[in-house]
This record gives sequence, C-alpha cells and structure tokens, in this order.
Amino acid sequence: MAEESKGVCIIAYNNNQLDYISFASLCAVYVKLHMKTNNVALITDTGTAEWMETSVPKNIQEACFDQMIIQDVQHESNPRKHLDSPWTEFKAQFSNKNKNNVFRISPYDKTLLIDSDYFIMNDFYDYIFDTDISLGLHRDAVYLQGQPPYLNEIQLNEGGIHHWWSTAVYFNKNQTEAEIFFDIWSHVKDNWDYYALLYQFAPALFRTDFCVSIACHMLNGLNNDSFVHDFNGVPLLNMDQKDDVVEVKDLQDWILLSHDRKEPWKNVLTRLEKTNLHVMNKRAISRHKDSLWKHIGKVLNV
Amino acid sequence: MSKGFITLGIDTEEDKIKYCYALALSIKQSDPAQQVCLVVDKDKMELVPEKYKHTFDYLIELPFGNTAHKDGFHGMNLWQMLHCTPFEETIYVDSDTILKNIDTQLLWDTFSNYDIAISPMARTYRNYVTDKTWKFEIELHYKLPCLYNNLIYFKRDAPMALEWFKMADPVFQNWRQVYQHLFNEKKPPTFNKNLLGNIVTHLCDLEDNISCPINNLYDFENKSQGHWGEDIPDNWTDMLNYWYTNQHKLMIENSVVNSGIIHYQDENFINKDIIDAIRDSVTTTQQKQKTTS
Repeated sequence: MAEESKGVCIIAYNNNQLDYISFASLCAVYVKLHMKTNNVALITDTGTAEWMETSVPKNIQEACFDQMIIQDVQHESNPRKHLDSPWTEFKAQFSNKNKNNVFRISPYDKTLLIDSDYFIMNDFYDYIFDTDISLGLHRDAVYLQGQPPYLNEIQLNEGGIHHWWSTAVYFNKNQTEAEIFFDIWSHVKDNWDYYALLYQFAPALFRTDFCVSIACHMLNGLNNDSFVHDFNGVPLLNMDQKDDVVEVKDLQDWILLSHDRKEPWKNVLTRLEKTNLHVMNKRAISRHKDSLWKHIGKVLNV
Repeated sequence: MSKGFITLGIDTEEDKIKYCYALALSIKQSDPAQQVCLVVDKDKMELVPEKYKHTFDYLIELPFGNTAHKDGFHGMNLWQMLHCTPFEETIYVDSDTILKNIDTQLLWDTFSNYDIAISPMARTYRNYVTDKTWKFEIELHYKLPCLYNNLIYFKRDAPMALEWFKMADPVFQNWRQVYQHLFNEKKPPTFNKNLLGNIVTHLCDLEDNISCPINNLYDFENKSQGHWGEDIPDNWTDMLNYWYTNQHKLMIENSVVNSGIIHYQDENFINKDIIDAIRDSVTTTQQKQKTTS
C-alpha cells in the first residue's frame, strides 16, 4: 500500500476589510517552521489569488505554499461583527461556507485544516499524522490567561450540546468516519435554519463551529461520548478579539494584552512562548505583519 | 450468595408505588433474572395494587413500622433496609430511579469487593459529570462526604454495612436534632435523605471505604445539569423536552441516554405511556429469552 500523503490546508478568501491571504501566508510559514509534517496547501479563489500575486512576493509565496487550489465559489452574504480591542468594532464578510469541501479538495490523505488566523508555534499536531485516527478536533478552549470560553462557546444553548472548535480539524480521507463527518457538516450547512431550530442557536451568522459541534455530537452517539478524537484533551488557546498583540519579540515569543471581561478597560500583559495561538483579533495581526515578516526573514532568508 | 434489588414504596392518598413498579420493570428489562424486593409499610400490604405484584419477587413489610408516619418523609425508613432485605447482597435503589439497558452482572462485579458501596459521582443527561455545588451545598460547606445515596450496595452480614445502618437508625429517626447539633451556619431547609446518608458516612468515617464510582449513574436534579442560570424550575420536565420511545430510548433535548441507572427525581417524568413502554419491552425481552432457550 502506497504511503499516505500528509499536509496542512489553509483556506483564505479576502474581503474588503481583511487581507486573509496575508494572514494565511504568515500561518503557512509558521507551519513550515514549527511542524515536521509541513506541506501546506492553500485553498482560495481567483480574486484572492490575483491579489496575492500583487501583494506577496513570488519567493515568499513559494516559501509558504506547496500547492494552491483555486476554488471559485459564490460567497453568500454572511456579515460578521469583528472587534479590535473592546473599543473598536467593524463588520466584514465571513466566507466560510465551503470549508467542509476541504475533505474533497485537500491534496493530502491525512490533512490538518487550520484557520488562517491560527499560528502554529510548536510541533504538537505532528503526532496525529502517525496514528490511525480518522478525525480530530478541539473539544475545549481557553483564553490567554486561562479564562474559560464564553457560554455559547461551551454549549450551543442553555440545555444544548457541547461546542467543538473548527479552528483545527484533522481528518484521514481514507476512513469512512471522516467522510461521514464532512457529509453531516455539509447537510447541516444545507439545512441551517432547521438545525438552528433543532439545536436552539441563533441562525443569523453561519458558523462552522456549530456545524462541527452537531457532527461531533452525532458521531459521539448523541451523548457526548468520546468517539471523536479531541487532541488528547488539549484545549485550543484563543486570543479574544478584544485582546491585542503588544509585541512579537520572536517568532515563538509574543507579548499580548489580555482584557478583563468585567472591566474591559483593564488589561494584563501576557507572554506566550512556543504556544499555538488562535489570534481572533485580525487587525492585530495586520498591525504586526511587518514585524512578523522581519523575524521570518531572519530565519528563512526571504 | 443471593442477590437482588430492594426499594421502598409507601403509598399515601395517591399511587406512589407506581414509581417502584416502573423501577422493578426497568430492572427486569435489563435482566429478567434479577430479583426485586418491594418494602412497604407495616400492615399496608393491601395497598400494593394487584396489577403491580407480578413484577416483584418479594413483598416485605417494614420490620419496625413506618418511622416516618408523622412527618411523611418516607426516606426516613432507609435505615431499615438492612434489617428486611431477603438477599445476602443487596442494591438499594430509590423508587424515583429507572435502570436502562444495564449490564447487571457488571454492576454486581463492580460492587463485589465492597461491604457497602455508594457512588461519589453521577452524570447529567448530557453525559457530563454533574455539578455538585447546588445539590451538595451543605456537604461542601461542612466538608462532609458528597455521595449519591440513591443507590447503596451492601452485604447484609458485613460488619461495615452493619455499622453504617446502625448509625443510620438514630440519624434518620432524629434528623432534626442531628441538624441542630451539626449545622451552626448554613442549615438545610427540610429533611434531606441524601444529606443524612452523607452524615452517616461521615460519622462512621467510612467515606474512603465505601466510595465506589459508578460511571453510568445519572442524576437529573435540574440544578446539577450545568445549565447557565440558577433561575430555573426545580422540575427538569418543566424545562426540558423529552421523549421515551417503545425501543426503550430516552432522549432529552438533543441528547440520548442509551444506558444507565437514571435517578430522574421528577415524578412528572413517569407517566402511563412510559410505564407501558417499559412493560412492553420487558415482555419482549422475556419472549426473546424463551425463544432462545
């Protein structure tokens, strides 16, 4: 039997507010630098790819991505409110409706799909490529100082099912369970209003986290069992949209501001080293883009 | 060694023994070979409806009479269970409990190394471990054991079991004085069988010896379910949708409880439809067994 191909996929669709391709490029380099399984495929559309041609130098593109898969999809309107610190908010299109297609279009048998704002700073995920695990997602998350997630990030409603995270999804294409998982995800997407009613969550914003939560719930026997692998119980580390990046001291050494939820004018300086980080404040990434590339340049010579 | 389940059923004006009936049916549904004993009030055997009797292998009267006849807190008679059980190994189960697709042999095996055993853990209908802060508020405040006394395994002749039930006698019969002596700050509002069971365990200093985690024990007490707010009804059936199918499947909201010892605690849950569904599945199980043999 031929050896199974392994790699990481990142999806990026730009909008008029956020330059997702620049985030994806940074995240791809982080994968390259910190994981052993570091083939990276970019899934994007023609418009975003053309923008990349003009905004990202060729040698950096080549350093970031091994493959580029263009999938032109009709992005339905899905406006999302973003925050940049507790005091600034803006709306931007959230193009996430074809995320489930990764099962079909990923060039790898074993794939880790990560969001374009997920910075991989260690080799934690490498282990899973050497296992027979069919599917893996984070069951839990914490914020910068170990704060628990917001209530609707723990369960979908008051009496509802557990919330799983689609920020990092591992799957093996050759295993049926993974195919079933993505079929359910697709089915939930196609019947969004029905599932919003059945699982009692607000349907206004399409969220892939809710799709995967329902799919995991079903695969776990409708009773929160442990069939779906949860990365050994390791929680996802989130940086809130209300938090900020103060300084990137080094590629794996970030200084951040963690806001106080009850008194948001208070912030605590937090330092993270060699820790995977889901940077939900996109504008904070934009502000530190140059600094990040400077550090990357020193290591990669690009 | 003879083994069996025992439960306490005391009728008042309304038919309370139907909950014992549902429990006994559910035990038979899990394993028709299991023996079930119903303990009733002294000289009140005639209150057990004739149509229920086929489910019970033993009908026994409280040997010392109903010590709760004044208060009406029938759980006060728990201390008498050791004195009236017809089995050498007994599992006492609260009447507001049902067993669903339980491997009874595994359950007996789990208890086999104990003289008396009570679970320190339970699960919610969503299969999480329950939140103990509300149900065990008093226990946590006074650092008492936090065990779920709705399911008690004991060996009738074991010294440790004798010790526990001997202590339970005065504690359960004189619960007001016990509260007065033990609780100077927070006080429980009324009789609380689970709390008294934990006081007995504390007074005997047996917590470490009798704690036996039962992973499929479910406790549906509404405030222990991990809901977001505390301003919720006491009865979970007033808040959550539920379905019980003829295939013996219990679904609450979007979660299924496939198998377990379910302490539902809410009398609105058990109705004629559910009792009929359990009885039908018992009949089917028995027919299947006859066909196989």
